[in-house]
Amino acid sequence: MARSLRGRNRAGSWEPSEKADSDEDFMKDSFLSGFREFREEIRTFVAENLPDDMRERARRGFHATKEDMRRWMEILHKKGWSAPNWPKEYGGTGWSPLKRMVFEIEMANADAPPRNPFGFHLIGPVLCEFGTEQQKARYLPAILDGSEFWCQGFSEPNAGSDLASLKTTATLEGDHYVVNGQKTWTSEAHLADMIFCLVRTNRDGASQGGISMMLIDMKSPGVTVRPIITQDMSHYVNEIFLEDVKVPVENLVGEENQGWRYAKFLLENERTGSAYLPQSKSDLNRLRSLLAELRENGDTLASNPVLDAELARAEVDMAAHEMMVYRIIDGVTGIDSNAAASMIKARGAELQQRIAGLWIEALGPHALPVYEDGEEEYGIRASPGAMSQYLIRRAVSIYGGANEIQYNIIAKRGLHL
Amino acid sequence: MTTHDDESTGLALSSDESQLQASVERFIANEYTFDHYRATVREGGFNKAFWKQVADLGLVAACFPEDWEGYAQSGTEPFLVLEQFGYGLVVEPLVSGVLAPAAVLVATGERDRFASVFNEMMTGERLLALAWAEPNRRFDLAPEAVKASQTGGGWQLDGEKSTVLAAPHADSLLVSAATVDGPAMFLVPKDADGVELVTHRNIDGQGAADIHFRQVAVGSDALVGKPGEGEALMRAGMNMGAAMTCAEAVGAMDAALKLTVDYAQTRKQFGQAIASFQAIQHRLANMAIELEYARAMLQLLATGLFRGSESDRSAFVSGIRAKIMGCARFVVSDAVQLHGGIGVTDEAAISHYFRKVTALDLAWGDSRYHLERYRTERKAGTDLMASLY
Repeated sequence: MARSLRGRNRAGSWEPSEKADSDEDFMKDSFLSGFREFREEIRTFVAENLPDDMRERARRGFHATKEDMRRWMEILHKKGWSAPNWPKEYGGTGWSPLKRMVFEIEMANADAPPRNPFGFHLIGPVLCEFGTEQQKARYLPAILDGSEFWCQGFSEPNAGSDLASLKTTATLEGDHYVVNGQKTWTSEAHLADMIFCLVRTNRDGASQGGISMMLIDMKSPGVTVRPIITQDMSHYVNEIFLEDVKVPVENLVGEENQGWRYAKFLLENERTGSAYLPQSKSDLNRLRSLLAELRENGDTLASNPVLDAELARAEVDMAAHEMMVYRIIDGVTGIDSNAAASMIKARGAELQQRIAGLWIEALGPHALPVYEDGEEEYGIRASPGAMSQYLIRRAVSIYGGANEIQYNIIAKRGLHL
Repeated sequence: MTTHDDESTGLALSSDESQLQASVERFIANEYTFDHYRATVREGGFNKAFWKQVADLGLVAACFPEDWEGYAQSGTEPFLVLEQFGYGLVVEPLVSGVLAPAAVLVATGERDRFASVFNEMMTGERLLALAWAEPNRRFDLAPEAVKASQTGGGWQLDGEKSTVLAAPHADSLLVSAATVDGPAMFLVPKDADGVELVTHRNIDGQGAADIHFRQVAVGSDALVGKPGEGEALMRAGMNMGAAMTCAEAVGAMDAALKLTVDYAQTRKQFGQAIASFQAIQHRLANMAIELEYARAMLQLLATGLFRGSESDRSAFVSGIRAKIMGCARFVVSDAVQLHGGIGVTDEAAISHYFRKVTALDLAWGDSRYHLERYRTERKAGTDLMASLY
């Protein structure tokens, strides 16, 4: 039989590949197989450059510190990888969306710490596209090397899922705007140097039409940050009070009253990011290692068929999630892109919650203590951040448009109801 | 470094694949109306004229790879054909009467011996029924209830098989049987002396039969593969059937969702279309999500099915099928629910999709069965995506 013929990846062949000349021959034409060297390069880079103390904190499931995020951005910057999503001319990589996804998956797989997304991931691309030359020169380099931190001022106490109902106002007075209002659920505001805000510059007409986007220095007089302590007893999110804050006109992004457009552009970049695929794949790795490490009745939890079945189910769901992301990146779903983004946001949130739920079930009573910094003398050392993640992840199906909002979007945009 | 900048991931169908998809879609929409389907079911689940058309259009050959004299290039083709079959409620047994038994024959590696069988299948002149299920053995692939013993000139088969799909329409039976040297497969003419079929109709309209073998004498050339290989060969058949019916399930889900969206926009209660109620919208949205996730998994299945060894294939197929059939059961259940009372009647098309998915699920292994098969057969540290990396 034509052995060599089958060796050249006869994808349509019914015969098993063990008869092929070599595995490598057989794997040539998958849409992902062109990235093998690239994945290897990332793994090697992280192995050689991630400081041990940071790796250890990430492994144990703790939220990255500001200093960790800064150091890691600086390290990535030297490699040219700190803003892979930006155009080359601004210090990005020019990679395709698929290659960027492969990059993020491999980074998470190598236990690299997360980066502060508000700079490189969210406002960066907006400034590259709509920013003035001065804004680009002033802000982009400091995002790239990690020296400046950003946060996002979108949500307000009465504008959550209904974002366009926001009430913070900006009134033009000479060469500056005067901003008054309140933002809430602002992640990392207590660490941030800058905030990009949606504010109302026009109170007439449609709610989306009178919104502008502006960049506000967190050190401006009138900006007050108050912590919101979440149920894991941690401080990620804040309330921000803006009282007569003077914002120079040159800090307006693009045109006045066009802020909704820039916000939409920003959220477009979120599309596949909100699936949390890279992080969730690495979360699944952690579940595997927890089940392999933890013991009960003289055996590891990996041999507990009920827990293993839950792991198996999560693996299967993760593969479907991963394929969804690739299909959306490649534009082959045939459904409205807003609806598609809502699908992966909603199911991605459920996956994150389910996996964190399995971590703590695996840990049992050992998940109960509150670990402030992971160095305590009590409890076991398996995964001190697991409970904290479990608790905070109840928010992932709420922020960025609650799952129920995602269903509305799918019904409207996907099913035309 | 390999760069893929500005390249597509290559997930889109090729132009040949798109053409095939469009032509099957048109063909089924034109020929296989709901009335045609109902008539076919009344007549026992097989319409010879329709099957001739299917073969003449090359749709059976499109499912066979080139090195088995078919037209399939990428391996995606049978999935495209079967998705449309599921969409149109086609009951003719492309999977159970052709692809699954063919996979058993392919797994023997004896291409020349079975070349004529394949050709006759592709021209629509031949169907095989894969007789493996036995009374009260669920999905156990190791035969016990049918035994084969060597005689002077060949073999004698005795025993019983259950709910053999496609059997009423098949020309020959591909039978698993226990021998002293382990499980083996036999190709038995349906009209052989001692073969008795008790035919029935399944809930999805497919014809099936319980089969009794009483001192059935066949020649030594009836043996397919070697004694002892029977379970492995059946596994190949099971994997093919389990994989291909996923495509039918996705087509059926797609149709069920469309029917339900249409119904919800037409049906009025409390003075307005029920589609205007958020409770209904959210259920429809979740059905749409499950359909898309099933589609994504089907693409993974089509991309990876013909990679890797048969042992890897079992875990791969099972993991994917566990997801797809879970999605399918969810979608058709909600589809019936949203139709209200009419949804559980024989008159409503939606109930036929409900039955179709249920039948596909139970015939080739339901979600839970395949999750357990995936769980126990997967290799530690690999995931379903591994073969694509």
